[in-house]
Amino acid sequence: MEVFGDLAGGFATALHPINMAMLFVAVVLGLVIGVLPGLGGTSGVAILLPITVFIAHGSLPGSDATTAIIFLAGIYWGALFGGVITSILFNIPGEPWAVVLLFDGFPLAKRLGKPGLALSSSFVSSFLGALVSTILFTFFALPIALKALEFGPAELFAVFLLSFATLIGLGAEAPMKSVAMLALGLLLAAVGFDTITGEQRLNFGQVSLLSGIGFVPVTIGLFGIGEILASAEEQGIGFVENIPARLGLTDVFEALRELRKRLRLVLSNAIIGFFFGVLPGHGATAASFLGYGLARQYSSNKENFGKGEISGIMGPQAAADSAGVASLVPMITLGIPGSPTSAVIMAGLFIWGLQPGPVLFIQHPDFVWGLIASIYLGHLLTFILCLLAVPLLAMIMRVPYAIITPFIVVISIIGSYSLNNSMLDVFITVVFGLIGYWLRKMKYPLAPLVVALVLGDSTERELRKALIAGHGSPLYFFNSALSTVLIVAAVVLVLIPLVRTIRARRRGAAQAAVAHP
Amino acid sequence: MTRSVIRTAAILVAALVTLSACATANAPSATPTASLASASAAAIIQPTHPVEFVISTAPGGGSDMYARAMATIIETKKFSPQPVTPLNKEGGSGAVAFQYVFEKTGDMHYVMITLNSFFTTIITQKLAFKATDFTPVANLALDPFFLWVNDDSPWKTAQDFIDAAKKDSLTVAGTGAKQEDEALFRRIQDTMQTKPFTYISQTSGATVAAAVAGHQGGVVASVNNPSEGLQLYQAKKMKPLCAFMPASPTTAVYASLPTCKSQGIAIDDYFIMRAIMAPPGLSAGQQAFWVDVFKKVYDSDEWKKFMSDNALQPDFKSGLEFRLFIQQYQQLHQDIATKFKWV
Repeated sequence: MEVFGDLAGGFATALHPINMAMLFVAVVLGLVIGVLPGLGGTSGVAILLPITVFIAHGSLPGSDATTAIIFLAGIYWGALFGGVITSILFNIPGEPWAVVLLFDGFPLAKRLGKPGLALSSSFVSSFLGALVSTILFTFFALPIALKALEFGPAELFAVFLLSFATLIGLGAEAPMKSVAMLALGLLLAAVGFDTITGEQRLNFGQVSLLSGIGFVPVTIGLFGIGEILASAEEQGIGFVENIPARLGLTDVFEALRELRKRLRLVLSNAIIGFFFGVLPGHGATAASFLGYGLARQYSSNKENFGKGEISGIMGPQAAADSAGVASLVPMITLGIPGSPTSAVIMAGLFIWGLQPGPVLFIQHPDFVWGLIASIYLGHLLTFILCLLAVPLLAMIMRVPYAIITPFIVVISIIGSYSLNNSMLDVFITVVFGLIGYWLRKMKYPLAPLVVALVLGDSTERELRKALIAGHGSPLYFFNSALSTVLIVAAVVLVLIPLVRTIRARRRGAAQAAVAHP
Repeated sequence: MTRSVIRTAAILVAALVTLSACATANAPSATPTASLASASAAAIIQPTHPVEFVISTAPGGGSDMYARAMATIIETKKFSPQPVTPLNKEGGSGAVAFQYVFEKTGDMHYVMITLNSFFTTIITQKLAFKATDFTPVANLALDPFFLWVNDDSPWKTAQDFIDAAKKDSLTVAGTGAKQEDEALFRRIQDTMQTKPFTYISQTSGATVAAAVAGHQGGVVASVNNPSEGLQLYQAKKMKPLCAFMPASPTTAVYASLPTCKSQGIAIDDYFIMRAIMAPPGLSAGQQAFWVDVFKKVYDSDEWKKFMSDNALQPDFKSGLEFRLFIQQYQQLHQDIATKFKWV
């Protein structure tokens, strides 16, 4: 096997002291960037791009373009892990792909009082997801990237439809409330610029609203600020304030036991995340939502989701991390970035004077295999750092919520400002904080709103592209076997709970009839 | 114990806040030294605090890459006394960035990288200003268009493509609706009297190329830039039929590619500009400062290599020549917008 020889060469490159040193610096930076809300992996990588020019041109002893890409990619790995820490501990998303971790991460940490377990669960599934993805990357990069090219608008729409279908019934105590929240999310997603026709939409003539309503400032408001307002009123009722101080690695072992129970879920989500990540332009965030939906579908106790279910952490996290790694695959092999962050890394390649694409494997094998080897090493490094930090991070949760509250507000505001250096996002955060508080009081589920807001834009775009391609005929979706299968699966997923409810109602009615003849 | 825990947490959180504040301190602050320096500004006109280099696309997008390459050259070669920091203001096909820079009237601490959306978006979105209102700095390169089809396409020449387009309405892809790619396709349609193209708008140049290479949604052709199609060309998934240029490209990979004009499509005057603009109302001295900086960028070996790597046409324009170019492109886009009822 030629691959093993190449990979061994890659490890020799990646293990070079300067490369290891820069990898270490990068994952630590990435973790910090991940933890800070607003400063995302994409902008973090973009900000550090100029430094990599010095690295690539040998300003450090022994450094070259391989060191530079190991450094940039390392930031991404750190950010993939680090983003969830803020979600779990403070209920504000550190990164876009950590938004879905708000659903179960914070509840497990604060309502069930197990922050160490929540963090460890996320880290072990991140690591396993990334590992699966990297192995697939190592062996099948080019054929898979070529296959992904055939994914047209019909197939992509079918994938999004499937994501929505898996998430239907989230917070299902009152189905109509879920539907209302879903509709509100789609409405918010429609604000801004219609890229298909190039027309302004629902922006009331405001140029600043043409960028649309970002889901990150909205979720910072809904969850971070909204939760604070609600808990201030309840004086923290339902929060575990006396989280036991455990400075060992017991949580990590417990997380590993939980992982063993969910091995099949995590592995299959990792593989699905990989394929999702290879598709151009979607990346970790969309994959995390699909991963959450699938975890919920697999689960036998769906009603635990949203209340601190471990599958609700492991499922999305495995998919997200896997998709993050996979998003480099089409970038390196075909010059088509799989996610915004990998787009910035690709810009780096151009600036260092390299061209991605199939030729890169032939002309610069050291570069490509050094990068692949560094993905293994980078994740291992990040994983170890994170696990060691779990007890310390969990200690933060021992601080009474009332004391952390002002810090969360400050971080929320700074975080949403720093997204685009724009006060509009701060305004959105504050407004949605109030809306979030009110929705909580009215017992409206927040998850459907967030899902629709995150996936709405892409779903709509692919739907319309497919309809244009099919000259307006919806039958276009059944031209390809893949999209047909996915759409049928989505429809079945929607119908099953419906049929169940109707049956249960009938049975209930029948029993009632028996009880009261 | 609890107290120490609280203290640790407080320090941690404070550190986070400070870090995020540092990392996001792109926004220039009016420092006391700024006002002092302005007194002596009559002598040397130059920025007195960090400069924002506004990018109208998302990180990783086409002009983002060019802007970051330029900013990196300015930084490493110390062409500016103050840092020039790239800042993405994406949204509305550039409208958000244009509005943002327009409002900085007279402030030389903002420069912006622009492409043809600088004309199309301002026209079609009916923004409250014109392209000619901004202070022109310089154009640093022209990015040509090629006509691309899938590698297994039956069309061997541009003429084959035109013949097919005259028979059926072909499905083509490009970045953004009513933007430069669609403008070129509409010009082809108009010049060659083909059936109207069915135009599918994609999110980026890379996804446009992927659509052609993967036959996504029946897409058969695109007008990607040479750099956007290069990787898929090398992977033998798509191929260029001709170049919309006055002469064949000089880049080795594309050297044998005929011009579209020689193939019967008489368009050789349409390129994507990679140009720098500044807010309206800059003084001649302030404008000269930036022209000088970007001339130095243009003359640097790094930029020359970057242009040849990405098959860009070297083309430096400033002053009157650049002004005329802007007027010409504004008119061209205005005509297309009127003809195809974009407004």
